[in-house]
Amino acid sequence: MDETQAIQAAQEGDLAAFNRLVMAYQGLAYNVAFRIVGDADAAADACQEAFLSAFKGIQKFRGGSFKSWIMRIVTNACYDQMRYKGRRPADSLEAVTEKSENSPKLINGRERPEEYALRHELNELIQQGITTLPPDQRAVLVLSDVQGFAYQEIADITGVSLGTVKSRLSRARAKLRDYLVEYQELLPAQYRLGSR
Amino acid sequence: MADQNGQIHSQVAELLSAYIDDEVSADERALVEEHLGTCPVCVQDLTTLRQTVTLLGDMPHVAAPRPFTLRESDVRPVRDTARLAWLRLPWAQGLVGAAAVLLCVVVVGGVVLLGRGGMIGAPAASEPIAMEAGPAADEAANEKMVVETVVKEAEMVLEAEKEVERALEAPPPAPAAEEATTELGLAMEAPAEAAPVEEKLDAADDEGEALMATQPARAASGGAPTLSATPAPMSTAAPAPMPTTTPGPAAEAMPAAPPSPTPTLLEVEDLNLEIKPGVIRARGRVPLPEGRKLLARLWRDGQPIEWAIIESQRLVVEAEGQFYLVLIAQAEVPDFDLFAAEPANYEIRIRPVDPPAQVEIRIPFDTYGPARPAPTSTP
Repeated sequence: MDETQAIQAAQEGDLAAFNRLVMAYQGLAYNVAFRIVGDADAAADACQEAFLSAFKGIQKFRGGSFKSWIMRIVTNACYDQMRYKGRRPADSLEAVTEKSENSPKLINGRERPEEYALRHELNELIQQGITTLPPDQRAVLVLSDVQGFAYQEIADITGVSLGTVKSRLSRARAKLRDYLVEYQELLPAQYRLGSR
Repeated sequence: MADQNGQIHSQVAELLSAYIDDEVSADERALVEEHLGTCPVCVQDLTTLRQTVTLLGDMPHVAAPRPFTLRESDVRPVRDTARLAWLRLPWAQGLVGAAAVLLCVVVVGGVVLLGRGGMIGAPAASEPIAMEAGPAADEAANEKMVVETVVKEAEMVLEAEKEVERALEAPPPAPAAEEATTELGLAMEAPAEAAPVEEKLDAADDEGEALMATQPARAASGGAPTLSATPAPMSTAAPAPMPTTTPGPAAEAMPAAPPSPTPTLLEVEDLNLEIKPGVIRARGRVPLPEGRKLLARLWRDGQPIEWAIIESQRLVVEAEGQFYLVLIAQAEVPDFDLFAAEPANYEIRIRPVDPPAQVEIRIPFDTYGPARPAPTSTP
């Protein structure tokens, strides 16, 4: 069963077919959600609610990119999570480091422990930097630079014009760059901006 | 000349991001490249922006903590409810029918429920636009909750202690409760009272003004408390527990209600309650077997209200007694934002269905904020 068939079956109420779509996109959805909201539990909640919403509303899907459609729902669910949880002040860098036990870890078998530690530290800093951005900029930045979506796809997902995508991305990158520059003394030399 | 250079510099600085992605026009590209030949600041900016983009692209893939596939129990009530609602449409009366019809409109039509902002066209939660347009009200509501939580934590502990004491003094379990205990194979807590709780609460609500005037219901006096025999330990995210309203004089004057079993109240562990405009989320663990179907309902000041859409009231107990309830407000419910409505005592009451059992989970909260300072007169 290909994607089109799965979508059609899901529109007829076939939950198993819809779950095939979930399986196909849940990894991407969770990654996007995690990077946008910056919290594992909130990201999981966003994904669960997004897929439930998607099933309920799949009749509204009229063709085009299902990936963009589902990512739009996921992104909106992330906004909801941020709306509730994001009212808190941004966590301090120390707090993020302390929370690292709960952070996802991927260990590359060829990587030495110290390299892994440095990379992990860098990723923590970047993630913290992302969460300092306004929600609309976060979403565009994550979709573009972490997930590699094209500008037009991002425009479709976020429901804004191409020009808005460009300007949000430009501001987001500049702010994140400034954030990383501000904290780069915490990082080893090879990760410092402008040092390569 | 300097102004013109400054303008070009600003323009190029704006274009650098798109330039990295080759998302500029030929004219823009020419402008950027010409300027880069004369502006070391922009060259440095371009370098660091590229590094930033590279770092972002190198971030690791994060594995999802669990599959997000849906179960029949997650979605089946939607279709059943919707079908029944359409069948009932000619006779639709009251909010139940209306809610189910709204469900079709809301869920399929994609009207935004979460967070007020919204859009038609995507069936998801609210739109980014909603975030940008009017966060003030949501922010106020959320801040109110946070403040309320902090202020009431101390009260919460005291109330919990009192409730435990009262529960210990409560009469032994009624036969119906014992039956339920056997049916579910659970260790039940002592029921709080012998009289039908809901009857008494309904009667008490007839005196609603008086009860609502006592802020909050814990100030009401007389009668035995009916809150869970052992109050649920609540996380800091949860507002303070609210003792269920007790019957006032009017309730006592009511004719004797026909006897009905008193539900045995189940303790909720690890309760986490989130309330925001249009959505109430509750999660925790209850001593119920996995797969048990539950139906939740919101009560206000001792009276059941039609606030959530029907399908969102259903849930199933998951492994180790975990439950995760999301109550989604009907699109046209007047008190969409509970914290914007008149302050009141609320309870989420959850009961097993299919088959029903005389046990109940109650999650109380109220929307009385912290005492506000008296307004100062302005000249």
